[in-house]
Amino acid sequence: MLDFSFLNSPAILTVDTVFVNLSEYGSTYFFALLSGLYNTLLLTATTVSFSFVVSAAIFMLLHNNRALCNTFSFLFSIIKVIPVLGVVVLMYFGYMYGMSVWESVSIGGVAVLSMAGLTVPYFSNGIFLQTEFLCLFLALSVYTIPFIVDILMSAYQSMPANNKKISDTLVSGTIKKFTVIYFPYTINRARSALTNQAVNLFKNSSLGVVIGYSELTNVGITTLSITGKTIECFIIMSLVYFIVSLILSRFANR
Amino acid sequence: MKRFLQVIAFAIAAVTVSPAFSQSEEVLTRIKKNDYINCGVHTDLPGFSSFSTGTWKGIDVDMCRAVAAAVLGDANKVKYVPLTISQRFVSLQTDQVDILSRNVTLGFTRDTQLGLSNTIFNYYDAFGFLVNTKGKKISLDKLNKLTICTLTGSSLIQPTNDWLKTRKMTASFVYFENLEILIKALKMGRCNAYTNDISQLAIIKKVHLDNNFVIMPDVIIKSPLGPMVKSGNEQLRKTIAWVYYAQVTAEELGVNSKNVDSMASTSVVPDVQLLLGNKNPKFGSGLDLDAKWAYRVISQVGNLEEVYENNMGKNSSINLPRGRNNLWSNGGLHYAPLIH
Repeated sequence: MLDFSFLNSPAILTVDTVFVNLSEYGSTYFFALLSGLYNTLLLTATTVSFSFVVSAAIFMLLHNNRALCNTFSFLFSIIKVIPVLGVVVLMYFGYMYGMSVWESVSIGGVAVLSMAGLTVPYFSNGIFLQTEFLCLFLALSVYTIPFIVDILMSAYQSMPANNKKISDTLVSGTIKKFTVIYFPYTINRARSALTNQAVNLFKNSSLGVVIGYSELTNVGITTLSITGKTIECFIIMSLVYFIVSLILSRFANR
Repeated sequence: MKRFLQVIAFAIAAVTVSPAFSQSEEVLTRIKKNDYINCGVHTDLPGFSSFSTGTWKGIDVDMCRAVAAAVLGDANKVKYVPLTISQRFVSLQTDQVDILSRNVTLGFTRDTQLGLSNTIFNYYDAFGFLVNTKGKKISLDKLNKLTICTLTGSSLIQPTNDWLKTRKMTASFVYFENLEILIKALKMGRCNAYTNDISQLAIIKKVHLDNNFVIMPDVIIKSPLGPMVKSGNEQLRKTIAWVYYAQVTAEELGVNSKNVDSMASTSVVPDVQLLLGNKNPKFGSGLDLDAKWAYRVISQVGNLEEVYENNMGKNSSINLPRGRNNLWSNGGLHYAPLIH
């Protein structure tokens, strides 16, 4: 009864993608869904890298400063109790409200924020990231960073006190000690928990459907509604999420 | 790696062995056995189906009520199943609802490739634009850089895109699944236009928006709406069609829910007596119904005019002029075969 032939028929929807224009290669539902997957992966990759870098920086600040640590843990506990959907919607409305007040905001003269999105005019064609991408990126980062910092801190605290004493004698200088000993040790300990966080984030990217970001779920639901191939579309979507999650989690178990 | 591939292979096998859609009894038989109709409706679309003060109201709701009145004798023997966009076709395919009366735009693909069938058009709609004019006088041709908000799953995005292209206009689309968030985004200025069926634009403008938002007179493409049933249910299809035809005929003859009883006893027009089941005791036997089926539809739900005016027109808060949803004899599109 399952019929996937609709994938080869011309798509009645347009999916915008940044950097690569997949619709040049074909305009069937297959390419529409592929564009959706591309958008999902782009969002996941950028969000994971950004939130990891920010979390690592925060971790560096916190790892030997108890007072700062307490302040941050209070801030983080607030973010962590808000459902991720709430963070996404709040971010979206907040951004739109800000833009309706200020119209456009220049970031250091390099990029311009506006209601339509973020524009960086200095590359060959200029980079344009639409509002929905930006808000989902920010919201998922804000939501994920506290968890990553938590993971890093707990991995760091699991380091035996003796090792810390030894490292004190081996390496001098706080920053060098952090980059040479503490950070590699922490990453090694935290890898599987971090990978889980990445898988989580990948799946949370499907919340883009709520604020109109054209990721896989959004394109999938549009496709199934036009073609009526509900079960087929959900099979495709869940298989893709399943396979990508499996591939991601391979890193955790290595 | 081998184990990894095994897991994937298992998963693919598990999902592709799908439950074949059961080819069971006629849906109409099931409706009679259950003594109620499972009616798939929109979750919340004032005018078509919305739940307020304890009852479901709307044109789509009245469609199911009218069928229930004809088949089961009581317009209240309906169970409403609110459906989202992704649920609507599957729940009909899997027999969770008997009739899908959910503001569905009917078309070739949906009629031929889903195992479902169009019935009749109970609302003649068209696709249009709602534009944020920001208080200025504006014509659509002048808006060359449109950001259009739209709901995921509209089948009319491509026609809209083509329509814009032939007028050398460019637009970017933002797809929302949730109408509330779309309206917020529209109000805050994320997009300067919203495209959908004009009836829906009118409803949303009425309920949520101020006078800066204007529905453009341009019509992009027609959007015929109507109920769907599962394919292979000829009897149910005919019943739905004739319930609608009876409502059209009643309006043509001037019979409505208020005068139906006096018309039945005093009218000398043969067609009125035929429609109300007084002339031919076998009227309805072709549909496996009694002679009074159309009388019940009109007395319990009303004729076509009442259905429109109560839900979309003068007697509702939406107050949308009837336009092409008038009778054919009044310049509209509603038309029905003879009742002889």
